[in-house]
Amino acid sequence: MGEKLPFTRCQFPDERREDIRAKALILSYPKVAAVWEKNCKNYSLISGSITSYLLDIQRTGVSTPGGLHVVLSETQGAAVTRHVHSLRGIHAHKDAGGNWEWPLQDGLGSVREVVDNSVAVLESRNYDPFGAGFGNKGTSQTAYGFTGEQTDGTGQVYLRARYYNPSIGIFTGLDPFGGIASRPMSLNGYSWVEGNSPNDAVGELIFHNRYSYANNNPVNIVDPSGMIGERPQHFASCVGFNISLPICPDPDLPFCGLTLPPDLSCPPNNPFCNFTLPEQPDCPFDTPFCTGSIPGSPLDRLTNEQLSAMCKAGKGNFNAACRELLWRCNQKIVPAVGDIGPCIARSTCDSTRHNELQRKVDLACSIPRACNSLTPCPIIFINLTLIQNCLIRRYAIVDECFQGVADDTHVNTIINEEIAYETCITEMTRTTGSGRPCAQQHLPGILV
Amino acid sequence: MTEQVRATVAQKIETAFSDTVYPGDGNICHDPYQGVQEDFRGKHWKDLSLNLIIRHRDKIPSLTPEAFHFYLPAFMNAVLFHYDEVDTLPINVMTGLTPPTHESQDRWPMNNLMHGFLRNVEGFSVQERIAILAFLESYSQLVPEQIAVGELKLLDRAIAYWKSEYK
Repeated sequence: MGEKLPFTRCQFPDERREDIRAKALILSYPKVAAVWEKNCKNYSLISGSITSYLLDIQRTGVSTPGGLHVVLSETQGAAVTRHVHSLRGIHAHKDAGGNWEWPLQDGLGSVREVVDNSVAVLESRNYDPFGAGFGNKGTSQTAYGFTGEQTDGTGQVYLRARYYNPSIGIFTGLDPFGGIASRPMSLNGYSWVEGNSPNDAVGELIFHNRYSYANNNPVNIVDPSGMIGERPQHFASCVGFNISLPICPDPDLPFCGLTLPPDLSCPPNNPFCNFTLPEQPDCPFDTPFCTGSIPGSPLDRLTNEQLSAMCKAGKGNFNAACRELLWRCNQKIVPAVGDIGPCIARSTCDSTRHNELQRKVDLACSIPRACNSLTPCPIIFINLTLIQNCLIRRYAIVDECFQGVADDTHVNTIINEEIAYETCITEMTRTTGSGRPCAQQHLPGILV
Repeated sequence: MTEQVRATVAQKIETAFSDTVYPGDGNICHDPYQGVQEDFRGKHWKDLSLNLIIRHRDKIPSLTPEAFHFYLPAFMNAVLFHYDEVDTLPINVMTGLTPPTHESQDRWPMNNLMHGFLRNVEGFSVQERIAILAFLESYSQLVPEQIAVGELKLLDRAIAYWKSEYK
């Protein structure tokens, strides 16, 4: 049994989860423990130690407005550990000894390294795609790990509505989210087919169920609510520019009441400020079965030539025909170059809409954003955000105009941008390392 | 990088690509929404202005194989002589000249990334391949104090590929 957040371990059968959240706003553990003990007698208390948690329930997610609470501080006896959260996820800790520690996160928000104030690396971690750790070095400094969420003593990740077990890649409880009316299959409590459902060894379609994590797409999707997969938080808005704390639990926290200096704040003419993702299409972007023909669908019975004619006609059911054709093309069911031409997706947006989306891409991607070894640290942070915004716009076109299945052209463009992103990440890691030129310039003007 | 090396590589590029065939007005870009078709139409690679190259620095993957072949020397020259001004162009040129990784292909299982790459590079002559290799091998000397770690990784893979092709 873990020592973190025990009140979520045993759900109160007659209360909605929101009520429990509200009760936990200023959580005094002894008080909750009494209720908890009464309702969960089969559970044992942990090691006799009591921890109080101060929560911020104002956090929001992309798909789940409100309710993504985070822990601001943990009190155990006289020892208080405090946590600072930015829009990007966990940002810093102040341990019981008053020492600041800084987690460094990857694109999913997973904590990959923790550094101290002198930027010495205290620990480093690796994760497999579903979040099980391996190859960790150093002494563990924080419970925050995979996707930037807390892992308790049992190795399970606390995702608010449910615990997720990364070692087996599934949740340990049924999804409390009932489903979406417009997606009938999501209402089925036992099968969830909107993820990528590969065929198993004997060719049977594997249906997802409500225990699966992040649509079984854990390298692209996160699930901070435990109820619905969404893209990593840092893709959602002008991330990194506004990291002042809305609630200031401790005046000693360096971010309290402060915002980044002007050169790091969101440029006034930057069109991406406050940009939010378009509504998530029904089909997550790189999910093969979203546009593939599931056996038995009407299009599955049409020949390549019939589909090609429908696609080229540009009317009626041409969108579905084009997608089916592209899917077959990419699956090599039809030759890549042949009677239907190369595997080039046909946009299903009308030209006005596509041009509008392309203009947004051009705006987002026209701002210089390359990093090299001389790029100053603050600029690297800005470039990372600019690249993210460029990627957001590119994915928006793929999602909206290509139903999530990009052709090679769009994929290669995205890969290029991701390589530029990785380059900036690498340079940031390199230049902020101990003894490196930027070691003392990490977030200049903020560190005190 | 000395100016002499830069000039030598540029000369190799110019000579090798002097007879490369224009792709045709309607065969420049796969994607009609990106404005490349209009901006590049009728232009020789030597006539592309730096501003035009910078504007379309992200559009390399959208070029048809024939247009990639024809306009590559303009992109390489821009990297050679204007590295500080062309933003992400070096990375985009480098990835255009590097076979996709297994990771990329695993991540996009529906896409024929390797097929697309091979289609882009299959039309190069021996002289052009030598010039591309010279460009790649001079790249790390270009501004050695600025090259990012990520670029060097790409560069190593690209050189390995073009060396194997050359041999």
